[in-house]
Amino acid sequence: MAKHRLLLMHGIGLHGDDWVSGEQGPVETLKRAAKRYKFFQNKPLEEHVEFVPLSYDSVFQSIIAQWQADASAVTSLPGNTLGGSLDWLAGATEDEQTFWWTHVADVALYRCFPTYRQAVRAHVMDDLTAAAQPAVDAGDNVSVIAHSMGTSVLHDVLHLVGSKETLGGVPNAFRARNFRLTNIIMLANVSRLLQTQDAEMKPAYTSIVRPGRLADAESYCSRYLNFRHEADPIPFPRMFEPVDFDPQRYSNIVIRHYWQANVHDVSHYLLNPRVHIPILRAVTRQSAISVDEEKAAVNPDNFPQIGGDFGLVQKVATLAERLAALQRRLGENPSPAVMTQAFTQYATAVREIA
Amino acid sequence: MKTLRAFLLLFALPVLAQNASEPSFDRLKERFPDRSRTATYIAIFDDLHQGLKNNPAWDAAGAPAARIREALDKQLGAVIDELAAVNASLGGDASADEASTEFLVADRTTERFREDTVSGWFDQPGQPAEQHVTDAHLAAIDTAAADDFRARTDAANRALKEFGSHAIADTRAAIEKINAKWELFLNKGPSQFPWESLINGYIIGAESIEQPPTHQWIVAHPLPIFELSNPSIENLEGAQGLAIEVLGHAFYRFSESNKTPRLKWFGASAMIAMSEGRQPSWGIMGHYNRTYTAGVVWSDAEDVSDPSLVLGVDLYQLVQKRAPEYRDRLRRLGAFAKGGGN
Repeated sequence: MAKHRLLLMHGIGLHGDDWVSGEQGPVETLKRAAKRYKFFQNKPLEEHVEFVPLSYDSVFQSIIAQWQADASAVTSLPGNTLGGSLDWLAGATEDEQTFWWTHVADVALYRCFPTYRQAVRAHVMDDLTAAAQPAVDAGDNVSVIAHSMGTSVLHDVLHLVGSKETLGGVPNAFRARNFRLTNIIMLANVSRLLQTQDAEMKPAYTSIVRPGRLADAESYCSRYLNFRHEADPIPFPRMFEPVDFDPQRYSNIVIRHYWQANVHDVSHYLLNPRVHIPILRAVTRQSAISVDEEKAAVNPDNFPQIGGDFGLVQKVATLAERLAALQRRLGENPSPAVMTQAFTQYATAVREIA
Repeated sequence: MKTLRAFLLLFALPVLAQNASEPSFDRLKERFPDRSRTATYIAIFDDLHQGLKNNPAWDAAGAPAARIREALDKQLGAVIDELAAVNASLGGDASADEASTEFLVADRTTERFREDTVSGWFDQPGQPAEQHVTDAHLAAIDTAAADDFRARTDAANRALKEFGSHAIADTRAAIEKINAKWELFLNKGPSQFPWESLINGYIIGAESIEQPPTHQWIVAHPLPIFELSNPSIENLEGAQGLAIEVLGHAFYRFSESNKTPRLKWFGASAMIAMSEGRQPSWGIMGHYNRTYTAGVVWSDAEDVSDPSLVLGVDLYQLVQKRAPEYRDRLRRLGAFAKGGGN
């Protein structure tokens, strides 16, 4: 049986080549989760699914490195006529590793700089179609899973690839009439929060990135799975909650577990059986995990709401309170400044409570 | 000839019906070795279609199988019609590469062959119930007919996938080039400070994913320079300093060499230069790609009458590196001139 090809797109922050395969990364988390179910005990998940990482943070890093090099060339001049006016930029190196430069800058660059946004999309479009091509040639299924900011980048790229009649002067064989994904899986979906008015783009609810029948050229996948943690402030403003997606093909699952301080973390999402069971079924078969196994897995006796290395109830209460305050501050439609401050405060809260 | 074909078909079909899905497509590959033209795919589907009509396994399967046979008959007929339309639109003798421009008229039908849900064949929401064919339906009919169904749908799917792979490869090549252009824009184009990227993003924008901007404003762009007063081949020592390009514009030209995108750009700006031990001076600066940056500045200082030459760091270093070689050439040329050519 052919393998299902699952493309994984990261969220904000620095992601090395091993982001997907690291011990605490999404693939190992899914593999560990799968081992609990009978279907995967004889034939492990990796024999059903081929994982392919997609990455875009290298584009942001190269932009920031260029800024830093240009600014350093000026600030290192003898006499430095400009004083410290470019120091903020000259210090934008990986060495500093500040939350702003490694995380918030990604969002700012993508949301506020149209040319960089397009460069990122072109990069991901190349990566994504290259990863999908062997599966398409072989007639295998292709699905994508994206986290956080990756959901927005993925949304935009899929809309472009799926809707453009031609690309680079040749007919687009990846457009929705020709090609579609089996599953689109979004964790902490911000595709609506970061949507733009770009000429070739459409808002998240009206784009082609929606589930539909095979013959429906206005859809780009057979199934759309959306997951959000109730306390995660990142996907809270302009929450992704479409009302006209086919309920047989779209599911929106809100989770409520606290197994680590960073509830936004991709692996924290995947730990939850309410998340990984639908995903494992979607990339193998519906019957891979029986209803009884599912009932047992989600039972609080087996998967308590508070657990892992985060067992202190008091800590959870404090975290939940701070995250709720952040959500209130963000509201439905926050300004970029409020968003930036809130996300930075989130990182601080996670650090302090962890 | 037709009799011979029908005779051969009569032999081939029972074999086809007895085999699983794999041999059917293999047989088609042997039978139609040249699969570079749309017409060949029409013949392949015609073969599958006729085989379905003539296969006695379906007659033997009786009434329970009739609906399933009809559903497949309709699907194969639809593919042939769509491929014929593609072929006609391309002048009737199109290669698969040419056909790829329209292949999805056919591939839309391909999708109907692809197993979308775990329940099996042709089981698509919204499709008329009489066209649903699931594994359960196939299990309820004669085995030979069910195997024939699986073999034909598998062969049809694989044939159309093959037909479409030409188009996929073309699109991939185009996307690679698009991304290569954006990489050139970022890594070889004029470097922009954040405020320039922001201004250019909103003034010029980047409307199409297929084409990076072809021009940009240069705004308050600081860069290190070397200012050379009274430069000569014997004295190319410059004073290090800072230039600020107050306002300028750059134009890019994307081209292709050996199918690889390339970028050249040039730009000009008004600038102010501030070099060590000298008064600020105004001038103009020109760029050609990232390496060649040069300009001329004029000073208001009373003791400076001639304009100074300003070089970007890369060009200055290049000139410094090459200067001894040029001096040597110049000396040899001088000696040659003095010696009257002897």
